[in-house]
Amino acid sequence: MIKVENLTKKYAGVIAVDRVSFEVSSGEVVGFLGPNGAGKTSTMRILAGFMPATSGKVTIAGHDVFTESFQARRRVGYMPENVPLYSDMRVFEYLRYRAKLKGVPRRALDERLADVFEQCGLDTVRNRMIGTLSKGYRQRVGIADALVHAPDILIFDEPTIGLDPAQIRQMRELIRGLGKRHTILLSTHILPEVEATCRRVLILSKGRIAAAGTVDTLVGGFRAAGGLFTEIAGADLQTVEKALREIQAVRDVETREMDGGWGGYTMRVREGEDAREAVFELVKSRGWKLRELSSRGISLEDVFLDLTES
Amino acid sequence: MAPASYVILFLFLLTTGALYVFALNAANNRAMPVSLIEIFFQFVMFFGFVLVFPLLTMRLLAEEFKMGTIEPLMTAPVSDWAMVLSKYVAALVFYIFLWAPTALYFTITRWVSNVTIAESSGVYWTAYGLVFMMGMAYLAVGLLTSALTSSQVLAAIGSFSLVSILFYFGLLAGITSPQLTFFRDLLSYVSAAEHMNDSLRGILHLRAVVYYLSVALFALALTHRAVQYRRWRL
Ligand SMILES: Nc1ncnc2c1ncn2[C@@H]1O[C@H](COP(=O)(O)OP(=O)(O)O)[C@@H](O)[C@H]1O
Ligand SMILES: [Mg+2]
Repeated sequence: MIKVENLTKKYAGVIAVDRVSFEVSSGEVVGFLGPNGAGKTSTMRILAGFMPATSGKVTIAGHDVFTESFQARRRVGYMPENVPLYSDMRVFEYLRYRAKLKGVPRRALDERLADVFEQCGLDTVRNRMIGTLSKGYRQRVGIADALVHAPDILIFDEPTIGLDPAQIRQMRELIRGLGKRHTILLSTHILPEVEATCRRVLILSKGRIAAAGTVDTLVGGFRAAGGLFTEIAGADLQTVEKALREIQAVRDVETREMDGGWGGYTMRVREGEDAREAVFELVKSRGWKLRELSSRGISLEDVFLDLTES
Repeated sequence: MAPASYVILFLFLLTTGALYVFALNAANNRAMPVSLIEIFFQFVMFFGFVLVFPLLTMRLLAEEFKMGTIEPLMTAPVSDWAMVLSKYVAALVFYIFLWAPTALYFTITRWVSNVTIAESSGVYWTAYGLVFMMGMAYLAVGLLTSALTSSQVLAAIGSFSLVSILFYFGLLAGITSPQLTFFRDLLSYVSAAEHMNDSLRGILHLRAVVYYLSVALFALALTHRAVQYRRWRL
């Protein structure tokens, strides 16, 4: 459905997207994950036909987004980052205008609008001025706009940014529901987001695809590089943290103060190595106390940090 | 309709209403038999007429670029031409909507008084026809300046300057040396003042119509070009 080959985007010398290639097949829900500035928005804007690529080729349902922009755009429902809307229009008025603009035939208009209002839970704000809506509702108006011409491909740029936890949950439910009948590409820089909604993930870092695959395979591939949690007492936190960092297999330590002189240390361990024995030896040689030492399953977060930090 | 549109409508009606009252006074007091419609349009044309165009067009595209709403607009399956033309038609419709009440002034006056309103009924058509032709041309120029910037203020300054030049340029004919016949003819051909004098005598020359249509088409083509460039860099 979406095919991206060697996509490159430069802004006045800055390379925002660097030879990116990927495919999204029909019915998939794919998460586009990357820290701020990774090039997610640039890529999606090109996919949505808002701006041209510097080089490379993108096709949507077989249509080139540059040479057959019009046909490609008909197939795509796009929600831009931060959802720009006309604040002096009413919700219903806006969505009706958008539906007409996107070529929904007059006789299908009422039914189509009723559908998206219901799907996005907008009935209660039907006559509200868009400028007075909360962030959560603005976001839903953006989704409704993307859906209104019944496209089969949806592209959402940061659909949950700026929402509170309850709204995030509702948004996830909504996207999960849409995933049953649409091909979706959504971007986010928040991890639980993709784990909750997407089957496949593309990790973008500094304009390049750093990894791609299902959440399971990505995590599986990094199985060896796990995490380790330990609780130690007998010295101040900095001393212990410093000593743990000196263990060869440990690449990162996060320290948390606990009651009674104890400290909790979460370590990230280098790929293919095990630090448990070294930690025990360290505690024994210094004469500290140890009350917990456990391996932690690796999370997508570890993979993400690993790929995007170095 | 946007809140700003109500403000423009209100100001327009206030100004034209006041000018109409002045025109009525003048028509009553003058010894010379000059028609009311003539005085009214003379007043309007030289009092704030050119301000209408920046006010009606500055928001059209500049605001969309500034607020980012250009993104949903340009990613909808709408061609750049359709987008430019729909903005243009919207402005033109509002322009007609602004002028419509002034025709009502004349109608009411005819009911209640016996002032000479127009030499003949044809003058209504030529005068309003010319106002419409000028609207077509100057609104297109305004849309063009709005496509060139993301700042409403710059768009307004740009269209005010361009429309003023186009509107007042023809007045140079009066101070051009009579030897420069060609140049003089050219100036009178594009002179808004001359077109207006003609129209108030019931004449709307085909060459004037052609001139305003050409300006409109040229400005629209440039607007389309500007939008394409800002979007596709081509
Ligand atoms: N219009 C632009 N002009 C210049 N640089 C830009 C523009 N848009 C984005 N960039 C730069 O391109 C890089 C990628 O940005 P973006 O695609 O917005 O990333 P993301 O959406 O992943 O945060 C950033 O370094 C950003 O500063
Ligand atoms: Mg972004």
